[in-house]
Amino acid sequence: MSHGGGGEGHVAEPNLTPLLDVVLQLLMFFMMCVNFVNEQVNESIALPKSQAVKPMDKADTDVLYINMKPFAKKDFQDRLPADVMSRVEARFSEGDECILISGKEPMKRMDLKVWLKQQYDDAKQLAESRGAKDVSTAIVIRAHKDSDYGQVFDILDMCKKTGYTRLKLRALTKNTPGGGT
Amino acid sequence: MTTKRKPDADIEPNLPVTPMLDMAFQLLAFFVMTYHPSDLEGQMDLSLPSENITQAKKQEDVQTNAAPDPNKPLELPANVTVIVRTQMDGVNDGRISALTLQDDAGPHAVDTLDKLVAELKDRSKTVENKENIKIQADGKLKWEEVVKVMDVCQQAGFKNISFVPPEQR
Repeated sequence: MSHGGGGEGHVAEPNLTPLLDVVLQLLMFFMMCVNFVNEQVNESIALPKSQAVKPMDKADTDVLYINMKPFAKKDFQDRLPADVMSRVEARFSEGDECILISGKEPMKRMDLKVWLKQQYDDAKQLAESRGAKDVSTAIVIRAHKDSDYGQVFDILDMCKKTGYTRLKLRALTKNTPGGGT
Repeated sequence: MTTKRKPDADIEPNLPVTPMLDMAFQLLAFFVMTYHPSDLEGQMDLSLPSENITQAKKQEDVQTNAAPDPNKPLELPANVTVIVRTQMDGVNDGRISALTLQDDAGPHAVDTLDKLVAELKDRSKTVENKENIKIQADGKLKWEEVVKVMDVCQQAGFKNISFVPPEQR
């Protein structure tokens, strides 16, 4: 760094402006990277890795999320109030298929069927009142990697039978720098 | 600069820059600490046949305005099926124990997923339906393994994957 011209006693400070610009750039970067929690996506589900998935570029507006994982008591212990927790514990044993929909307690398959039918009927009414022919809701299925194929298939089947035609599966993209095989 | 400093300086220190910078550094530190690069979640669409495609045996049976029958399993017409078996033997529960490639010529056992890629690529040259493939897997197979098989199918060029109901065993 230059020192002031001789004999004047000036102290030339390093030029702060570019440094501050860099700091603000960094700040902007990290602010943009904050991923505000999408409350319908259950974070405790470890999705399988796949090369075939494409990152979503434009989110659909009309989406229903179905999260599924084997039941583990420790996942819910701290998150549910005691009375709900005791009810849930009575219904599920460790490792059972457990379907999670945001805003609702863990469900079993039968509950899901009932709920899906209600959602479909509502959506159909809405679509018909707007003049659309079909329900355009997409269903996104996020299944834990340790779930059984049979369970996932049954959920897919249930959605098809209820009448939904747009089904999507979620998985983690494989070729990210932080990810491994 | 050799000019004399003027009595009225150009820069007026009214704006308290230092505290503002302190706040900026605080914010930066916060966002740096809370940043965790996670694997991007992606999704793949399942292809379901459109309403008018049904598997008609004869030309006369083709109905152009068929409504989807909710009780009939919707399946794509495909020539090739990948059969994935698993054994609940206590050692490799839920993992792939046998892979079979079934096409019009008959079943063909495959050892590993890599060999399956090669076989599928071979088949995709000769088969007439180059995009559709079916996966038939045991109910107890882990979902992770099914996704691996789906990957393999995509790699080989079969973009439309449909699932066959697992056998009840």
